Amino acid sequence: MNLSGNKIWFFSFSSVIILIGMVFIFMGGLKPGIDFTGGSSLTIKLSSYDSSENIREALMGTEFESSVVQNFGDSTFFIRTFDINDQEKEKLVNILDSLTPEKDDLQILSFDLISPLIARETVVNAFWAVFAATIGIFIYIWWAFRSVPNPVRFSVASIIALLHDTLIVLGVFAILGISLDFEVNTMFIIAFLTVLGYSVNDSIVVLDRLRSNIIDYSGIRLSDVVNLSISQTFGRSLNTSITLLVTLIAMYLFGGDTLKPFILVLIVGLISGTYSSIAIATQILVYWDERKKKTV
Amino acid sequence: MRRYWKSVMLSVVIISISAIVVFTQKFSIGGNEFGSDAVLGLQLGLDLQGGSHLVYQSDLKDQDGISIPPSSTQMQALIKTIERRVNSSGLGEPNIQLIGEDRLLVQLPGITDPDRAKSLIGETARLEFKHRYTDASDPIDDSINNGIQNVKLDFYPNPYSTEDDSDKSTDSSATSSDSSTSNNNVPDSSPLGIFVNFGDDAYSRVKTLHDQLITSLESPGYDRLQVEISGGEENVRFELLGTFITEVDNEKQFSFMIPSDTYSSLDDAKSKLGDEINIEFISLLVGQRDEIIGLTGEDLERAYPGQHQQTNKPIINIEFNDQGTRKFAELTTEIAATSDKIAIFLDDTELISPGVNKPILGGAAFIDSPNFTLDRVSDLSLMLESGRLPVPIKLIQERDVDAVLGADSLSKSYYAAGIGLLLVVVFMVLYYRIPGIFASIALFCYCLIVIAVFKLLSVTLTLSGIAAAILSIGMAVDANILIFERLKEELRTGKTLSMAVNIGFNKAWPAIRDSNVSTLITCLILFWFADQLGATIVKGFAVTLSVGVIISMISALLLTQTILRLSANSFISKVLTLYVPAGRKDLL
Repeated sequence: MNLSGNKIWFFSFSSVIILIGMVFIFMGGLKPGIDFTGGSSLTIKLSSYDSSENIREALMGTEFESSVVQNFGDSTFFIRTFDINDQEKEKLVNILDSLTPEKDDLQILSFDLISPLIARETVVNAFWAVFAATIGIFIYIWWAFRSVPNPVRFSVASIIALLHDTLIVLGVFAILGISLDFEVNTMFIIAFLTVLGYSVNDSIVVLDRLRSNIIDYSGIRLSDVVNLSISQTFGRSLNTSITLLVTLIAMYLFGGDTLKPFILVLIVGLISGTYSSIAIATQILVYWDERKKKTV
Repeated sequence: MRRYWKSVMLSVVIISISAIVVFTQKFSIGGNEFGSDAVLGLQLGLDLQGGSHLVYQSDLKDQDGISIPPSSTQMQALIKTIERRVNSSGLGEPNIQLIGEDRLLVQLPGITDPDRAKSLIGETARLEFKHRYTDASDPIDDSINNGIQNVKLDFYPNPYSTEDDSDKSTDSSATSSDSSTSNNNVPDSSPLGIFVNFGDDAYSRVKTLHDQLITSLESPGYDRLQVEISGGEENVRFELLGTFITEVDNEKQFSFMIPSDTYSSLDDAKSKLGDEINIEFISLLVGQRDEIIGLTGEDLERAYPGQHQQTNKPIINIEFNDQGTRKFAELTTEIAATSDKIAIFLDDTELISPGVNKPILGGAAFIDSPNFTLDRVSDLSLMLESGRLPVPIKLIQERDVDAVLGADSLSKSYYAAGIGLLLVVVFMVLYYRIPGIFASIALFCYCLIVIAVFKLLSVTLTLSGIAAAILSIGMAVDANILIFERLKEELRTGKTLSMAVNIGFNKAWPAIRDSNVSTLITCLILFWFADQLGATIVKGFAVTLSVGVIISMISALLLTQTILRLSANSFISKVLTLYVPAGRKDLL
């Protein structure tokens, strides 16, 4: 397997995917949910009711006019609106309750209220958490790979792979946001962090093999050592990904509707993470090595 | 085998203890309770069992309305108040946590009526004890009586008579009969009125007085104007509600109704009163007047339901603090033996207005009423208590999940996780053969240990926690796969199985360690941020993943290694092909 020879193709492929994702992000594909904007959301079940159109109509002319109404299927609807107080909530519930003639037909499955204050903090904290986690991983890898010369390049390589996966997941989610109205909420951030953890995990396994091979095969070109390491870990990378993918697909098919966007992020991240550990993290090292040799 | 007996024994002990912990629904060690009524005795988060998640922020302000931070003592007192209030309401046990310095996280698992909980916790509840004066009489300002210019007798005008007014006349204690105001064309049965003209000053005073009388009709205990008319031999005194006084337009004239049972007709009145009629305004009878005396919820120490010692009827016990005791003693001394009452208001809504039999100087009292029921007494006690929130608070975050939705998410997650796990086992056995079986056994034991640790550490399982658990299963599988791949390589170089197990394991370990440690670093940072923010979802994720990752390392280090070593010394080891994965033999 001469993967290093094709690294330019890998980089180009990833760049194209990321660029497409970026286009969707700039089109406003990442729709912030109430966790990041403040507001309230209501998930209701209205049995004997199957269209969100009527709900939208019922809210016309009221202060809830600008609410987002989504059909979750199974007579379940999601309504997102501004941060309402108790009286406004009561009014909204009354409007919804009057949609069906039967009494007690309306069932409130969940209600969320996030004040703008909390939302602002969430945004800031989510950013710092991701940033701090990245720095922490960077430093740990630097330390863990101290037995090979120039260990900082391993840190840089895994962080770039991580950034790659981050951008891919954001891009895919932006596409889903435009096409399926997916929202970015706290669950998304968690899925995102999971991907982050998995991406690093995956990169480390490949880099670990590279670490021991660099010591064992000193004198051989790095690109060959990289190819050898990838071949050696290829079975593991594939098998781990397949087992995880199998679990996630089971979760996606049989888990609840509320979990679906979350699982989807994990699936995309898993595929991207496996790919980046082989095609990005290690190839960055080769690229770095070759550049250095040229300049010397 | 003798060489590994220590790790074998350790594995057996850990797995046995885990199994006992997992399959015992509830147990207690050294007074600590573990387990719950949920599946496998796990603690379920609000998103899985339904409930409310409320975050409150202190809304403490100084006199200029500038926000000031509450002291930690105040916040602790706040926690206790809310805890007691929710506990005694029967809404279930709340879980209240301080977040940072000025925030409270209130979790109410299993609650079905979040709005009731919110109103109980109360956002701005303010309790006030007021002195309620009843049947006081205020003298009428002399300038009114001196300002009377002209008095004459005629039929009482009927401009505003509505259903409402006649309702009030029958309700009221005022001395007027029911036939008074309705549209009656027959002059004989129409009520009579005294028409009085006033001077400028007196007129405006009467107008103010009239407005006050009208306003008092909005609350119980109507004010009345006491009037005396005289003339001839007659001298009649009566009381009038605001409705029975009418201003006659443009003439600075008011008409005061004469109660209809006084005279049978206008002629009767004229003959009895004569031509010279005098009117005197005696006094304003105050039905009820509440005066703020500075006794508030802050002065109340406790309020709790109880039983009267003699009658066994439900009562409310109240206790005041030092300052409250002084104010309460003053108030009760003043009120005792009068018909005055203590009016207790919560957020300007009257809760109850008990009378006082004798001065209460000790700061402890009880309230009883013939209408008291057990429920009423306990609700009132709660509301009295709620008036003394040590710190005003406002709601900044709310998350309510219906129990049905929670149960649905839980069962779906279990279902999905079960199928996922089964598929993993099938894949591992098909691909890795004997080691795959071992890995499956190790995986099963891993799940057992994780659940046991969750129970022992009382980790709350949330939806995000389940996600973390799946990820950690993936990592546990990954650790096994790493070991097997190395093992396979070592076998291909012609090593014996037991050598291959040892070397393979040693070579796989750094990768397992480094990948898991970097995940732990992420978890640690996540946990820290979530803790600052009270983001239970993120926190649940971080805790679950940390536990999973640590156990995954232990499980790889101990279980997989032990099982492989055991098998290396058994008959299975004779058939090496069982250890080499299907297919892909050509790869390197």
